[in-house]
Amino acid sequence: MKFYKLSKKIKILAAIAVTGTVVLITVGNGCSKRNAFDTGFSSTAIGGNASSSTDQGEVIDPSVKMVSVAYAKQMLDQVTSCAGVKKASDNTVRVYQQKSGAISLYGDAGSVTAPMMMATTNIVAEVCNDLIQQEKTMTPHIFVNWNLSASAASKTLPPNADISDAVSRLALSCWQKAPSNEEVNNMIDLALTDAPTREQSALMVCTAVLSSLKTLLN
Amino acid sequence: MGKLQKKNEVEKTAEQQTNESIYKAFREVHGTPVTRREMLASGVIPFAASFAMPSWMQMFANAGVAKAQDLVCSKAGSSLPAFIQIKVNGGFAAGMNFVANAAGGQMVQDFSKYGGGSDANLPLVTEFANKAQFYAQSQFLAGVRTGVGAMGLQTLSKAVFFGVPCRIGDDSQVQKIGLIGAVTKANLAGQILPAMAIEATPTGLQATAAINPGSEPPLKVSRLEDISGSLGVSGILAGLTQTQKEKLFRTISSVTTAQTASLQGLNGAQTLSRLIQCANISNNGLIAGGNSLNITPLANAQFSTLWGLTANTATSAQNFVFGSMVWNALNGNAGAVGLSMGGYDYHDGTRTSGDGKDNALGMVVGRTLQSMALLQKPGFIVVCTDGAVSSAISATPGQPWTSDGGGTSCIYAIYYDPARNVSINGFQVGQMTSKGVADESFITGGNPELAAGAVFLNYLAVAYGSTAVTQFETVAGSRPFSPDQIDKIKILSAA
Repeated sequence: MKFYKLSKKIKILAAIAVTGTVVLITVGNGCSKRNAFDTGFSSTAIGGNASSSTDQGEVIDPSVKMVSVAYAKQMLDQVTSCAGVKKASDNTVRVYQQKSGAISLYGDAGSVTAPMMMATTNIVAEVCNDLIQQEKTMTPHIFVNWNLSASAASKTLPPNADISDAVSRLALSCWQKAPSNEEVNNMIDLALTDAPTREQSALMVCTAVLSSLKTLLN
Repeated sequence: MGKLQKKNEVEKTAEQQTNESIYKAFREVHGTPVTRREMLASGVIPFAASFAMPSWMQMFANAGVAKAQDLVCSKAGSSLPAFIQIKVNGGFAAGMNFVANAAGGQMVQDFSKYGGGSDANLPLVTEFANKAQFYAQSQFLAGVRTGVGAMGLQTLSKAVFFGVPCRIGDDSQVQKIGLIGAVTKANLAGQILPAMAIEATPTGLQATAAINPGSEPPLKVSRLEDISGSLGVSGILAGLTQTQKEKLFRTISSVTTAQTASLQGLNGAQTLSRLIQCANISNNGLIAGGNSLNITPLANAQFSTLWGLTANTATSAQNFVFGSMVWNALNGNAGAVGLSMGGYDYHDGTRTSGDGKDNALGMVVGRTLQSMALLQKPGFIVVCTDGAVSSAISATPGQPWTSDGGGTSCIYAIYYDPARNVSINGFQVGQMTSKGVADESFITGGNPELAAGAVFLNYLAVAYGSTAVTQFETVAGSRPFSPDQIDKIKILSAA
């Protein structure tokens, strides 16, 4: 009986291993070299060495997923989609077109630069502004009870519970997980910075959530 | 699990426990420390240990934060000479501006098919510290001399020039001559900006990568705002107060730092974690620094005059774009720079069109050289093209360009160093045949990538000195040149 159970476990493990291998072979792990970057230098090389590491020298385990971030062409779609913005405004598209040159073309883990993160944050902020404008005219699904349309100049901020609620809604949508207490506290702290208007508060919270790593992961 | 936890607690020294409690208190109030200053403040880096990296990394780990080494950002910027590659699209008369010799330093006997006539009729002049040889009517050289300006003769006498004759396919955008990636891989980095280029291609040029493709395309620049826009906030974010901007970026940084823990174990996680945190740290500094960035060439009156810039010059004008890129490359803001110039497939049955374009190219080279002299910065300029031109056969030089002539192409390299003694063996790598085409019997004569490799090796020679070859092989991931070939192609050094 014990032998049977052990054998069954081995079969299950083997099945998982085979399935995983098939999935990896079929889908790939995202680490293959791009044709556009391939060089024919090896054809003239006197000696060479096969590399199994990233450009940054990190060893690649072929059985494990390769992390990557949203690349230039998908950046706008990714943040617009997760924020629930029905259509990016012309202004957002314009900012995206201006800034997308700084965003990684392929989303490689080794491609992240400061200008890329700056460009991303600027684009995300425009998407967040689209979200805010959308929530003013439609039933809000993120900034519930914020009453964003009441008065643009209003400095009466929503209570912490409503800020926390908005953070949770954004996180669930863009991070696919609930925020930790620390993350919520960080966002509440941000939302109250320097006597903001409600819109500024919403803009900062939204931009911070959508510019963080979990949102940008591919 | 419990035993292991208890064992770890027992092994912590009193100092580590104190640091951990300071860290926890800091984290509750300020969030996860990210910058070096915050780490010092949090106790993660004890001040006395701030110069002993392994010690504080250990304490960071003991404080419960995994992968402390991920937070060690690479040193911003580098002290390597600036690198500016100019790609001339269309195939300019590279073999009939600079005039390379045949084997043994002998004059090429017959340039009759390439606009130079016979050797007896071809007038030559020399320029640069190593007396490189040019056609006397070269409009490229004329442009260089004009570009450096009235004070530039001294600059030219300090710079060195060499050419690498090579047969390069005509009017092709896939020649393996793009060096921006390789130079970036060799650690030429900007303090606040990556490599920059005009073209939105993987290499930043209308060319394929030579030696190493690099990790990413350069930042595309078509106007000054492309540079400033990548370094600060604009649009809706510009409406926030400075305090709000700073807090926003600190929050993004803090939240992202905490989220990197969930990636551990995945391929590329260490790299992504480190780079994204370093990027955020850099941006925090940029936002906190306000408008103190030195990114516009208008900040320097002499530099602006050299490039013909005023406050009214359109920021998308070629002079403004080129000047801005050179300015940021030389002052250390940016990494390698790729400039592009179009319209060089100029074999229209005249010499006039080609001369005008060659002069414009020379002007850019001259201004770039004089920029180095003005700012007292070393720099390496590469001029490459896809092909060249030919003329009707004639013993008289100066015939109109009538067709392509890639067999007589050449890659140019110029190095200027205001502080070091530069030595160079001759003014060419490889040679021409007696009929005026690149000699394929030399390793670089028939292979554009190897010709570009020879240029790259000489850049490494002035950047890395005695370890240039090792550095080359690291970047290339192979050994394309044998030791005796290296002796022939590495002609430049500086000490």
